[in-house]
Amino acid sequence: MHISLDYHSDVPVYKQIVRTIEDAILSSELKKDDGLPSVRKLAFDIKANPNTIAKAYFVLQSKGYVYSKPGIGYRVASPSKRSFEERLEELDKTLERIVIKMSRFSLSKEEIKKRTSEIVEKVFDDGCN
Amino acid sequence: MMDVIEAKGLSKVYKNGVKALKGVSFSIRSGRIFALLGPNGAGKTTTLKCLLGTLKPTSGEILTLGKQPFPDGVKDASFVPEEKSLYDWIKVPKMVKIFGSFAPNFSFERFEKLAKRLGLTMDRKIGELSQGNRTKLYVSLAFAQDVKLYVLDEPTWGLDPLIRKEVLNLVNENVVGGKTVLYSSHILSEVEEVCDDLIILKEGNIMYNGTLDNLKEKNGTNLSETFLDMFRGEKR
Amino acid sequence: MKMYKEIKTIQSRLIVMMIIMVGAAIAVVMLKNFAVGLLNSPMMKEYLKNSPYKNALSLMSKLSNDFSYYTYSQWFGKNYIQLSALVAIVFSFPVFSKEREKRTVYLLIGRMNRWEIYSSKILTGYLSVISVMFAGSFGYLLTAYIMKYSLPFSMMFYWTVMATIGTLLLYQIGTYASLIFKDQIKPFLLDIAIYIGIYVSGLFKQTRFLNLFGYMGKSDVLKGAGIAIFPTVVILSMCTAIFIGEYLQFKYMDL
Repeated sequence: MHISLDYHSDVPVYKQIVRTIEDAILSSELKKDDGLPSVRKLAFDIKANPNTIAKAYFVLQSKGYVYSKPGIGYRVASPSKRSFEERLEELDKTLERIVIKMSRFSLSKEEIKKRTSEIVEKVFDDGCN
Repeated sequence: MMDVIEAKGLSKVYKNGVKALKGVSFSIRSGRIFALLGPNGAGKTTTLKCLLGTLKPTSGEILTLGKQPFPDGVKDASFVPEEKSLYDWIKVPKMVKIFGSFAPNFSFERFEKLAKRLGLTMDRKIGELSQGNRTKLYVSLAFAQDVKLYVLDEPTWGLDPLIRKEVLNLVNENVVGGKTVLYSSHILSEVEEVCDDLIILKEGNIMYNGTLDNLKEKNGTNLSETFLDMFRGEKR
Repeated sequence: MKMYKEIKTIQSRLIVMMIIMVGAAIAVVMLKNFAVGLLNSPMMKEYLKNSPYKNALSLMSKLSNDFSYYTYSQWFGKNYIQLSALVAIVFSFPVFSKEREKRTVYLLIGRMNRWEIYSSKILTGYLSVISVMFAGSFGYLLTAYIMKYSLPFSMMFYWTVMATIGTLLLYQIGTYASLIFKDQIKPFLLDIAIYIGIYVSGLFKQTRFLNLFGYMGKSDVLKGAGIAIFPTVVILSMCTAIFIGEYLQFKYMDL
């Protein structure tokens, strides 16, 4: 899992960390009961403020993505179906914004459908290769 | 979490009548990186000096590490002032020795590690050092003290981007170790990289007091944009 | 030890002042031979006989025959005192003003409390003044003994003690001047003005009691007098009063 941070974004850094770890969990890059690095270790590794990381872990925990056990540290939990749905809805919204943009270029509904399904094909073909 | 600094209704009027601070209140929690921002003349340095007991507040109360800082200062705090002035005619190793003779909890080993890490030039007289090297020396001296609070006024003055990043890493690492850092700078992008909480001062008043995350979430902009919005209209 | 920093910053000035003081002491003793040789030359005797200053001859012979008198008139009553004023000025004027002018005071503040800063500075200055003053007088005495001149130890000791106490007062006043100004030039000029004031006060009967230099190079010692107790007590009390007042001002000052 690679965490890249943009300190000068309007998205708070802790949210960027939450998002990266969430996605890693949802995509099963991180599996249930996998250990997460400690706050200190992650702070050193990605050269970030430890308080920010602690906050990110706190948010992840309250959303049910991770759990912590005293003496063991943070572990990946199995996220609820709802969190998965929530994330998908967010991504849908991103997609929606793009579709809206395309529609402004006076493309017809059919044309947009064609273009998007082409992209879907391409992504999956690349994935198979 | 304990408050490392508590300021209530702090104001400072200088002898020449300049009102540098007009009743500011804020607190700094232990283990946080706290930034003090504002344009020149907003009262940043005055605030730092009041917190460290070099200036007597005209009114208001301050507790720094649970103690009134004026007049005797706070031994458990280490200060890097805006002007990195040291004794010009003395060579760097001698300066370190002198500093170590009076600075509380100073470790020469810690200093050597820091100096090496920041790439400090050692075999010169202070007067012959570049601005960047003076900053490196001052920062290394300050962090070689094992104290609870580090107060840094423009700690990256004259440094190249690589060393700048190293100083920011140093700040983060100290917080990992349980220290508190008070950081004042006019380089917003730098502050944005490290700080947890911040206050923004304008003409001796507080314009914002809270976490960086809240500021971003509330305004939906990054720090520089918020800052510019706050001061736009006055600068033409 | 907190004084290490002050010792290191005063060190070079201390060495220079030692050399000047001891060098001057040795030179004054050495010049005695030269002066006596000059006085004993027939040409000089002839010149003085015909000079309008009738008592010049007796003064000159006293100077050449009585080493204690020579010592007073050329060293402890003259050059030694002048140099002591220089010592006080050199050690005192940058004490606070330089730290504030160059903003190095922020290196100290907080890391030491105000008493530690103040006392380490003033006490280092005191020790420096005392060591230079004693070097000047012992340097003189030693050279005199080597040259086989006789000088009562007690005489030299009284002069040294009084001159040193006077210099400490000048030093203490100088540090106060250094505290109230933020740059280094003003305290320096004020010190010189004070010295001129002290000197001028010695010229008038009404203000003669202010003449610190008169106390520092007291002529009665030649006639067997010891340390003048009353003025010594007054001067030491003044020193203490300024020391305390100056500390209180420093303690509650914005830096």
